[in-house]
Amino acid sequence: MGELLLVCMCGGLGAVARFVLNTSIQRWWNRVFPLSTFVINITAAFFAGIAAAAYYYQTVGYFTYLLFVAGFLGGFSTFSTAINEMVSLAKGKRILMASGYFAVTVIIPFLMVVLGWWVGAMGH
Amino acid sequence: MTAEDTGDLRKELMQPHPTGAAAARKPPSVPLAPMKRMQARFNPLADGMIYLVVFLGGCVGTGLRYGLWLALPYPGSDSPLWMAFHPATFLANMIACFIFALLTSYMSQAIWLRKRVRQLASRGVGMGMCGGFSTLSAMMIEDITALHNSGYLSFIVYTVLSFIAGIIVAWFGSWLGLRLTAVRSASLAVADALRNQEQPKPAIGVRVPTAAAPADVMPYDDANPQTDEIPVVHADPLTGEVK
Repeated sequence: MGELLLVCMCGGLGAVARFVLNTSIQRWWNRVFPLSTFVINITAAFFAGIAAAAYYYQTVGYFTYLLFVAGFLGGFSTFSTAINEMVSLAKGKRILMASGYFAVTVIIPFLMVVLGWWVGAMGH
Repeated sequence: MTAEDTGDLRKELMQPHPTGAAAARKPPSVPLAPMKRMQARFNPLADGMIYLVVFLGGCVGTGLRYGLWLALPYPGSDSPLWMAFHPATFLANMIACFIFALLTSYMSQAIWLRKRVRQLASRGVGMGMCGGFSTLSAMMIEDITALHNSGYLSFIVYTVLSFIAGIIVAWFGSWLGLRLTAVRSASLAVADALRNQEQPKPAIGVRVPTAAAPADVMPYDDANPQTDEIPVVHADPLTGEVK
């Protein structure tokens, strides 16, 4: 029970961190491309890669990994917002930008996980 | 003057007519006074209530996702097609996409709710709960784990399936949100149109010319109307002094 509560609290902190970063980016970014969600997702993917490598090489225990990946990064990264931004771009007749956003949302976070894994596995 | 002329003029007068710097193609943006940046109504980052609802929403969303992970554990398939597929993550992402789309499109139409209520609901439920419920980073970790176990095909299947299904679900959610609000929005629009038909409201400070009143009726009830005209004063032509 305490474990679940801690994971939830970390998720809440992740959501607050996303809110702060999202609002700060949207304050100066006034173009159509949804940069804030994209930056948030690639940051989360990078840290997730580091965390996965750290757990794989037993640098951190399972519970720490769970707190960080399932809790904080789960609350921080978002799939629903990204998908809805694609849908609203497509509905606004910006098909090209919607498909470009789709492509970079699939590819770049994946590369960031690989990069994070590489960084996390450096000493091993 | 014909009735048609009056209508056109009325329409013209109802339009905003910016003058001066505001009429430029790119009107200058006036920076906020420093102290106003600290006020919640000008700056969402200074709004403590939003932090609270986002935090609570994030807690609930993460708890739901964690619960779903415990309830639907990864089956550990060895098939090259479904190795990366994690049913709990997939389901959480789909539900979150649907709720987020439904909420966003509903809140964009629901003008009968107070603005603060709409703001807090979309921050708390949309950003906090749906954002905490759905996750991209866990999906990417599942993908890379599958790649590590050389499940290249399952990586593509899982990723593409998640995105395509998510887009379909989100499209349906936003359609449903518009559908739910359509009836009420339409009745509000009709009421608005009827009200406008009865009493056209000119812009503030604009006097709309009306059809000439019969001569024997006084045109205004107010014998001493307030107007923008400069009162005529009789000044001494030599000194400019008003007597």
